[in-house]
Amino acid sequence: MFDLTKKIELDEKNYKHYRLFQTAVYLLALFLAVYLFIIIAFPTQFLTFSFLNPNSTKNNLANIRNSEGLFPERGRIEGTKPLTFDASVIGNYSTGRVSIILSKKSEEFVSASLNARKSYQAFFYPEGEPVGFRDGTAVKSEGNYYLVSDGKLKKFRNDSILETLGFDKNYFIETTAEDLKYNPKGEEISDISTYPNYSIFKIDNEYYILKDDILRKFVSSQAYLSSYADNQAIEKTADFLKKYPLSDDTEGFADGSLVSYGDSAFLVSNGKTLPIDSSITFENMGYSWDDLRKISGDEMAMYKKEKLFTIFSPHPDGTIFVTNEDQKYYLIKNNQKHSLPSSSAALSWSKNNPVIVSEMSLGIEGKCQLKKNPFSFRSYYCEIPLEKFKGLYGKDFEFVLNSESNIKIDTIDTSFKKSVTLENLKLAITETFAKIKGNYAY
Amino acid sequence: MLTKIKRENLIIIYKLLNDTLFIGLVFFLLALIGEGLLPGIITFHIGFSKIITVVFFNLAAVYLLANQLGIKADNDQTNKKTAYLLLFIVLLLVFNSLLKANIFFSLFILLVVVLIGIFIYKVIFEEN
Repeated sequence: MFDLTKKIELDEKNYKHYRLFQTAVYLLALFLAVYLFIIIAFPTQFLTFSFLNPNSTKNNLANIRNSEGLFPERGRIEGTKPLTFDASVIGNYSTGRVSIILSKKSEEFVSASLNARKSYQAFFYPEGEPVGFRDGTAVKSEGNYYLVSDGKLKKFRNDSILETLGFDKNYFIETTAEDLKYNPKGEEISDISTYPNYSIFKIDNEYYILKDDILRKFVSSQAYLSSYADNQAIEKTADFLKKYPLSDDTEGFADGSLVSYGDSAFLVSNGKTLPIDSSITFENMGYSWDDLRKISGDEMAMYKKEKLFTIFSPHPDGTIFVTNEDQKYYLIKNNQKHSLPSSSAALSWSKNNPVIVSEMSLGIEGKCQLKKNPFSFRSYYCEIPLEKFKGLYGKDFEFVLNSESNIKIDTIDTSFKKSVTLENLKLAITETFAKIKGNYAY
Repeated sequence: MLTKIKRENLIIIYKLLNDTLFIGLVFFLLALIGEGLLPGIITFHIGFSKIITVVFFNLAAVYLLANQLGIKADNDQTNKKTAYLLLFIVLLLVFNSLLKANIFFSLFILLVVVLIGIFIYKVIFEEN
């Protein structure tokens, strides 16, 4: 072994001692290097939530709720009622460990179990009423022509009315009677002097939509195209603007649209923009880079900026999910997922590629019984193997804690571990190279 | 306290501290290269401040012991090959950090860094 300080000499006995210690130091360094390699290649992800400090920025378990869907104040859970929370993790892990630290005032667990599922947070939302086509969509079925207006399906009384109003039959979306049943039937369109709500017009290359007999201009062509097809708008001259009052408010992008301004990407939802914190979040949310639209300052200015959209955030209103098994579409709205009858109905809500989910993932569950931690007085834990969730779409684990005691929780800690296996090592190396490649890609 | 320890033992400790300093610097350099290639890969697990603190205390201990033992640094012993290699790595890291910028702008910044480095070296090490 080399000697960095050759010029500083020692007698033979002490030099032997030095060599011995030196070997030990380098061996220790080698062990340290191996240890560091293991924690880098097989990382453990920790997520936590403290009911003692619920507003802490360190809390990163999401959507903590009781059986009523409400946040359990001070961690109080009544017996037999479940506590649900979501953990967002990137990558595949081998085991998930959940530790529950009870308050001093809490009853002890008599029997408690934990169930886990994997998908996206928003896909765990309860299922709401199915929805049909979006307002403003022109559809045809069995020779009848309809416009979806005020949520209702309004049939054109006859072809003559349709043509007199300026609608082009060719641009109506062909669909089935089955798909149309999710939009309640409205009164027929029979008046040629007025347009039904959600009629769309193109005047001097700008798009307008009629809402409550007031015309609202789209902020840009691409904002319009995020909701409707180009050829759907009825061409009019500038004189038409005298027929209806013009709103000062402009129409923006469809909810769930992905836009970029400068170097940042944003999600548009409910009239607000949510800045996406990183490309890792973007990709792990299941979004496609092809859906990102570059927007101008004017387009951006119409929105109020919301808080950061991180890996811990649920998909916002306007997101469309599609199941990989049977191509079933869902729309996220008001913390519910609503099934959509068809891909054309989904396309009427969003022109983005839908986020792929697995219907099956809602039925695949991991389960474990909580055990008392022998090293901690009020702490209970259990471990769930995550192998069965491998390959499922989504990055969120939903945990449901079922107990029979009235408990008061101080802290929930979760840790996701990767086993040290050759397979995981190969995966880690592949992922690292992919990340480096991505880092240098322009 | 150091005076109570035998000189031979102090020399052993001094030599070992040189070894640990070398190990610390190798770790630091590898961490810098790793972090340059993939930001966050190291700092997500271990902060640079921790490595720097350990290296700094190691360096301080080497300095104190060298004073105690009357060991003087031999300036003629500078390993030019290692110095050039380290300089090359530093320049690569600087260039790497500017990779997303315009290539000519990156080269210009690199040139400025080299010039500043040369002048600082001259001011500190050149006599008169």
